[in-house]
Amino acid sequence: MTNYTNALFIGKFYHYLEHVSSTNDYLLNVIKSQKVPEGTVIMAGHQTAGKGQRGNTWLDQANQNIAMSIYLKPHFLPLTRQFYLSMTIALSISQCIADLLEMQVFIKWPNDILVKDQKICGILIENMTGGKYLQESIIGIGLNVNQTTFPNSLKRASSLKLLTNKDFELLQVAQKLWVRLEQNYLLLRDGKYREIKEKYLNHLYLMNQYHIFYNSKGPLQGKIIGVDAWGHLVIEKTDGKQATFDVKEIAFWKE
Amino acid sequence: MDFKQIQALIKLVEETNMSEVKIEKKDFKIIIRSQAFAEAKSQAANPPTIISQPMAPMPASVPAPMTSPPSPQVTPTAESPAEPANDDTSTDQSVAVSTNVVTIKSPMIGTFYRSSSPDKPPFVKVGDVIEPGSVICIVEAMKLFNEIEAEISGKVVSVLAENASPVEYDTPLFEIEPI
Repeated sequence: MTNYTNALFIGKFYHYLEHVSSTNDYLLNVIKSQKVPEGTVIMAGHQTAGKGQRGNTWLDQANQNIAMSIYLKPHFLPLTRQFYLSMTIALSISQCIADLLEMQVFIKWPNDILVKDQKICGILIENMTGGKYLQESIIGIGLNVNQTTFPNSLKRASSLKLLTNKDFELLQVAQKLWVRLEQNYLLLRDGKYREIKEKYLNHLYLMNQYHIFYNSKGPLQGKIIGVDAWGHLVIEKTDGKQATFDVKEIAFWKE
Repeated sequence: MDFKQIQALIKLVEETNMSEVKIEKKDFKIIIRSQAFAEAKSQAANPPTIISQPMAPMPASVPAPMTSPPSPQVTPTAESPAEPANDDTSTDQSVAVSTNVVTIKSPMIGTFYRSSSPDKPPFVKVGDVIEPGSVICIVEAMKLFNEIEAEISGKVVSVLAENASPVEYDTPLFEIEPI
């Protein structure tokens, strides 16, 4: 299928690979050895060692899912605001999936994408920094599209097909995502931080709802009231006191 | 003050060899520093840095740069002034000089990693010689993995933070003996 994208720069330079260990690693090697334009996309039919959060791997069946990495150069973004990049990506994917499914899509803090309480997409962002600014970013996106069976270890996994009973053309889905991502990335580049955060919070899973979270001390009842500037989760406990949490400090469910 | 006026100021600073110009108005402050100032302040060679720091919400007349402007960098802080402002007036990487050893500090809150993945060797170890652009560590913050590059050349004297440990903004990470 030919790549006719409506995006201005994301996906204009597009490279498809049948097999690769990790699209992020592949793209990282590409940018270290040659100059490629911002918006370059590497997409793979099958990732044999896709990266999840450090050490975790992402399992996918061949030619069923989107495994891609996008090259951005957010050199305008101070390190102190880097969570805005994460919010921008998560927001774009949520909007794209909502467009496709006409269902409510949520972002589970910090950046997992959920539909009907099940994870459908994971994001892994690797940045190169210089001084107090980001310089280059590799945005790894794993989106479950046509895969309908998942290992038992992935209890809360879903896919576009499982949710709709329809097959999706992978490249078309990717192209829709590039357009959304580009819109939001341009907001970020314009410094529209407040707007991005507002939209992110509008999609945030369990925002303003009482829920029992789990931290190292056990269950903790409270509601999410936002994220701080670094991206930490801010929870208001039942006693009215606020607490902030880093990624590994809090779980949404009892494991 | 609009963008044109800022540009004119930058030109003025460049042409007259002034080291620093500071303008302060009711709701707006701009400091333009030249290369000479930067060199005098830090051992690292850095481009001229301009820091404009809104004291009240930024007047809309200062646009965020769409692309990197040539050499002098204008860095307006847009929106949300309550969040950590990028107001460090030192030029770049946080370095503290003490008796010929430079300390490289963490530029963010996060988790410090010495290698790209658990099964890979560390980026740098004691005795290694680094140069500007060498990747020295990763700091992970909220699932964003940041490769931190050195901005000076020198020899690694000590690694101050433990692998996979949490670090704060400005936590000392490495001691480097400049070459």
